[in-house]
Amino acid sequence: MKSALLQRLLSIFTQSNLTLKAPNNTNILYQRLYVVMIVFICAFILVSLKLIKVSISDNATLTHNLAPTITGRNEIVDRNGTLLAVDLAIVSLYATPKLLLDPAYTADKLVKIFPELKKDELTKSLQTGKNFAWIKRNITPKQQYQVNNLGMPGLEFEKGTKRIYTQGRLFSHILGYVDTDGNGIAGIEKQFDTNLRDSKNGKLQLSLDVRVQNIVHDELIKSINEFSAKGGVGIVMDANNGEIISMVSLPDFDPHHANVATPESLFNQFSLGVYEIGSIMKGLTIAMAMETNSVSLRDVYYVKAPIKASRFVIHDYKPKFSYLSVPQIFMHSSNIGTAMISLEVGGAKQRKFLKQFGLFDPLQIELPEKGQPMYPSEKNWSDISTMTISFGHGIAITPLHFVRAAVALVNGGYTYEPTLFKTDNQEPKPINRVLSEETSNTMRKLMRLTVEHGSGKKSDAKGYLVGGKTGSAEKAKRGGYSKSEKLSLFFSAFPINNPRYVTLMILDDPRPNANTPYTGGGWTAAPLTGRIISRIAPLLNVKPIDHDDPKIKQQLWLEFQPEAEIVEKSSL
Amino acid sequence: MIKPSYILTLLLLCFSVFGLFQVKFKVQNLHREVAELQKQLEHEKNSIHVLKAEWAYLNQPERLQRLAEKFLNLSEVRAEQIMLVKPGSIIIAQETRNIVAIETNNQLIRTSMNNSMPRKTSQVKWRYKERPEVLVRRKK
Repeated sequence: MKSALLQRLLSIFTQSNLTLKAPNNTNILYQRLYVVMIVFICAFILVSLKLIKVSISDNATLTHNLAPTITGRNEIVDRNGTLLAVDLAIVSLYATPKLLLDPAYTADKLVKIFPELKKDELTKSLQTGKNFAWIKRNITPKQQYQVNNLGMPGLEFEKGTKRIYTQGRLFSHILGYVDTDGNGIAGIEKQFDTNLRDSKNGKLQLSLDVRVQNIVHDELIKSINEFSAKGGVGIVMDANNGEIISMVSLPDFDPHHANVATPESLFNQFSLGVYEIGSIMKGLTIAMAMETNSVSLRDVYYVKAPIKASRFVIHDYKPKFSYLSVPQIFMHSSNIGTAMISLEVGGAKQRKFLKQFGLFDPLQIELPEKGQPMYPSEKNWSDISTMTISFGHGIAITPLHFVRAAVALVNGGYTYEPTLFKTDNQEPKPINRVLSEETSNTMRKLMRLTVEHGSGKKSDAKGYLVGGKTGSAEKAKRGGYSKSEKLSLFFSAFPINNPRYVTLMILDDPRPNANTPYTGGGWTAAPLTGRIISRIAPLLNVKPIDHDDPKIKQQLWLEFQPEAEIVEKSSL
Repeated sequence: MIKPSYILTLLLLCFSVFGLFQVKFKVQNLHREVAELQKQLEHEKNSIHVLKAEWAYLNQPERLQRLAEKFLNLSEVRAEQIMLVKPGSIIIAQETRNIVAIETNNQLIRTSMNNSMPRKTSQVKWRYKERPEVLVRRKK
């Protein structure tokens, strides 16, 4: 059947021309015509089908020949959207020495454009005859134009990106830096390396505030210069959610040239360095005594005689008084008094309490540089440990550890994980209550008293109701403590009646000068805190408060003088 | 003999060929234009990027502070310069000398503005009527 049809078709064409002209063969003529027509119709249908397909289907294929965009790493911005780090497209110059006509001449011309290149080295690298040699990375558009004008074969450009830190060294320890290939080496850049590379993630917003950071940085530098200190740390944290507003460690470095920075300036002191933080720990000790009902605020301690325990002697710097009430012990920062209070609480409770405050746990901050706290093991936690730890010696923690714990003293008893990210667009973090509202309230009053009448007078920024605690710690040296080198610290919260922010300022090894004979926290770190708070409070929308407002006075009132009869007894 | 329908078909063919090429060239041109625009877009995006970085760089608080110290006669905001405005609780000045100071200040501002505001203090309107007795007393 099939072969018959084929034969018939073939016969149509195999007929000779002569037969075609035959009048009685019109039938075959028509048949041929039909076959040709069908073939053409089929072809046209195919063409139009294709046409319809092309015109209907999306024309994404039309825009394929576009160069891919070089995006690089994502931007990092502060809490107000100010740019902190950005990748800029930049051109690097390389050579294919194999293709160069005259390496020496090329080198000569290139040195004229890039005066910082060394001619001998360049000539040597161009004469190798290899396939690839870097000439200069990150050249300016003008230099690119000049090189193009040379019109030499073998010189080529590679498009790339360079990380630019728009705020310079202001955030060097937080942001970290990247290497020449754009890999994060430290700080946020390292911690979020993969996130920052993925362009889908968009920009990374931090909780920091450029303006506050600048003020803390500026004032810290002034203080360091004033007291010829080795360095310093400044932390400003939101007291009610743990957002870090500013965090400075000095000396710092230029993140664009991190490879030439000294190890000291690369060292991040706020989360990596562990220190014995000294008297500011007394806040935790007093809160602990209050929380465990071990002492009452009316209790009075005899502080004239130093405590002798085995080879240690605990003494006070300026023993003016014989008897001190608990608030006075805090205000005047008495080591003897605090040690005695801590003994009444006991080592086991103290250990449990400090654990609860997170002093033994690693930090959760979004930085790769995290210091491990150092403290005596449970077996070695003697009464002497209890006493020394009560005033901040014998335990070494990072400044951020202390801020994480001490924020509970003022905010109603909650601790928060310090974070570098804005919390308002995240889920609320679990709240960890460590102190009762009442204890926290008392601690606020004590901190205000310290600023009003105690060791922290110089921190009193007018209108912002600062409360704080001074501290000075002798630096641990091999085999004991250094008498000459110390840390001066000041922990504060403002406004203390309803704290919004807490700050911790540390000066490393301040020296006395003509105006300030002492280098304790009250003389160095406290005035620094006062200056910083009076500058940052208006920016942080903290409303000024009248210090003499009777309501405020009443809110923060605390009787701290020891009962008259005890004082009288003591003078007998 | 040429049938008119043949002429018509031929013309149609010519037109369609002409139209086809017309469209083809147009598309080609548009293509080129799109590529050009895309390139330009890329360039502009890059420029925006650079300008944003430059803006952030020029607005470094440290730099602004340095410039402000050099060129502006401004100092930091002190707490006592900030006033919480709560109607009813505003006390403009509790002492006469404060009023004089306020008025001198106002006059200075007016003089510097060189406008036609009233200079005589008696014509100044005080909007706060809570403590009129404070406002009546005036130094001679």
